[in-house]
Formats: sequence, structure tokens, C-alpha cells
Amino acid sequence: MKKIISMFLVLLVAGFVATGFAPAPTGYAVGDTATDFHLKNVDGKMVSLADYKDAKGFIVTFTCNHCPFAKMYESRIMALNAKYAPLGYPVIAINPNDPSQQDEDSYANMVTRAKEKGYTFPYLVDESQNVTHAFGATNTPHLFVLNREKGTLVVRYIGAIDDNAQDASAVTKHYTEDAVNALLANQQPVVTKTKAIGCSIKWKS
Amino acid sequence: MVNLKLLSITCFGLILSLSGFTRTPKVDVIKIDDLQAMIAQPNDTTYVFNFWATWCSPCVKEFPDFQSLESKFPGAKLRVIFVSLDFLKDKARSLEPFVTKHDVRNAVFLLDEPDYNSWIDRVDSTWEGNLPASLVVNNAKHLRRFFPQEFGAQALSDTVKQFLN
Repeated sequence: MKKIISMFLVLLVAGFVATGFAPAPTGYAVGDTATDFHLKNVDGKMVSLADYKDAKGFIVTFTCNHCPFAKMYESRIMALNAKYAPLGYPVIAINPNDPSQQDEDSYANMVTRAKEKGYTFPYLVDESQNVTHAFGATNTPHLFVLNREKGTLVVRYIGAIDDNAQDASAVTKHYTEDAVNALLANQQPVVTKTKAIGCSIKWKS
Repeated sequence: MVNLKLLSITCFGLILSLSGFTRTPKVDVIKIDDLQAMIAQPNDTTYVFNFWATWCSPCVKEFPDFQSLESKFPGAKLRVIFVSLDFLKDKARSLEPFVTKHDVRNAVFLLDEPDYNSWIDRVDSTWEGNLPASLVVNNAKHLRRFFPQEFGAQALSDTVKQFLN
């Protein structure tokens, strides 16, 4: 049996090598428990979710400087924090991109951007990309709403902010807000997963 | 006399269009139903739909590989169709200048569907929305494969070869 499994694994790996494509992304599913992380903020200090003793949950947002979709959503991400941090669900932004592929996403440029725009939430760098892999983020922006339940952080929504990146005034479905509003009302979100359209994450090669 | 005048205008127009002087990039705006109809064409042509946008740097990088693909298989029933996810407001500002600059002879469409979650599964349920992505179909052969990532030039040729054989 072991032999069969290892043969299968060899074939699987060979398949990936032959086609040159990475395996399908893994990561959290809705209902999974999220593991805390320890990442550097734009102010040079390290941030963990455990630092937020009073938070009811988090809006973990994978975003970056360079991506046009991230830029279009930037003010909406800031608005999410302004609205939901006081209600117990702060935004934690994480830049997942390898800056060697996109200089605009370098740590120095993150610091500049956060200052210029006056981010009121942490903007963390995932240098090793381990946190991004653990979450299973694929694009920027890509949001994960976490909810504190019996001392653990449970993933309750994964996906897009809303249904119209181009035009905030034409939005009809506020996916992330609806999810957090449901949690605030002690209910489960109706829509738990959407596809987050945006720039693919620049993985280290 | 009138006929002569008409004839000369027609000739002038013909010369102009032949000289390429009046050639402007033709980018049609389509909806998801139009795209689905194109994907479902029941013939033995292999269609490569490349989903891209001018703002997506990996897309732009691999664009020439798709542009030159048909010429790698002379005589083959192969068509490469570019489906741009640029925004409608950027059509004249970004998309059409790109098409002109790169002298794109393939069909280029702008898919005007801002609510991605309403249609993306109709292209492929495994597509998470990242660009670039490509769909290769041959309906007569009942072949359909979706690639939600960049191709290398070699991998692209190899994939298409499988559809043509």
C-alpha cells in the first residue's frame, strides 16, 4: 500500500514538473480555524492577532501597492476599518507579494503608501509568504473574515469586498460588510465565499 | 456625372482602406452570453481564449506568445481570441492603444461584466479570478481545458498541439 502511495506521489510530482504548473492552491476553507501570525508592520513593530485582546474578530485583507484592483479598493478597505474596528472587527492588511518581482510592493514603498494615505490599520509584510500560503490567498485584494468563537478564530467569509471593483457607487452586493454585519448580529453570514478578482499574488520562484 | 463622382469616392475610400490608413483597432464589447456562444461553437476549430488585461503585467508579458501562436501551426484550424477584462472606461485610453501599438491581428474583445461572481463559474468553476487565464476548446473533439495561470511559450504550443492532433 505504501508503495502504491509513493508511486502515486512520484507520478503526481512528475505530472506537475511535466506541465510546469503549480498545484492547486490550498488554504483555509470557511469553518476552519485560523492560526495566528507574527508579521512586521510599516512602523517596524511586529503584529500578532493575539495583540488585539478585545477584538471579536478580524478582517484580514491581502492587498498590495501596485495592483490596480488593490488601488481601486484602497479607500473601501480604509472605510471597512473605520466602520468595523470600533465594532470589534479591525482590518489587518498583509502584503503578500515578492518585491523582487514588483518593486512597488517593497517594504519601503509600503511604508510610504501607508503614510501618504493615512492607513489606520496595520499594513504587514509577509516576507516568507508562509501566512499567505496558510490562508490560501490567491489574489489582491483577497479578504478573510475571522470570528472569535470559544477562544479560537474561525474563518467565516472568504472572498471579495463587493461586486464592483470599477465603480463603488454601482455596488449592489456588499459581501464583506454583510458577513461582518451577520456576525455582529450573532448570525452566520449568508454568503460565505465569493471569488476575489484581482492581481495574482507574486510568489517567490 | 453623378455616377462618376460616386465611383471616384468609392475608389478613394478603397485606396485609403487598402493602404491601412483608416485602420483603427476593432475592439468589440461583449457580454458573458456572447462569450459563451463563442466558446460553444460546434466545429472542429481549436479556440484559445486568453483572458487578460492591459494592467496585468504577467498578461502583457505572455501576450506575444499568444499573438504568434497561429503562425506556429500553419494550415491548422486554430484561432486565438483575446478576451480583455479591462474596464469599459479604459477601452479608448488603454486597450485600443495597446492593440494598435502591438499590431494585434487576432480578435480582441472587451468583456464588460463588472460583477465577476455572476459569470466567472460559467467560464470555469475552478477559476479564482486571477489573470492571466486561458481556455482551450475544440467542441467537435469534445475537448476543453482551462488554465488559470501563465503559460510558458513551450507549454502553450505543446497544449495546443494536443488539441490539433
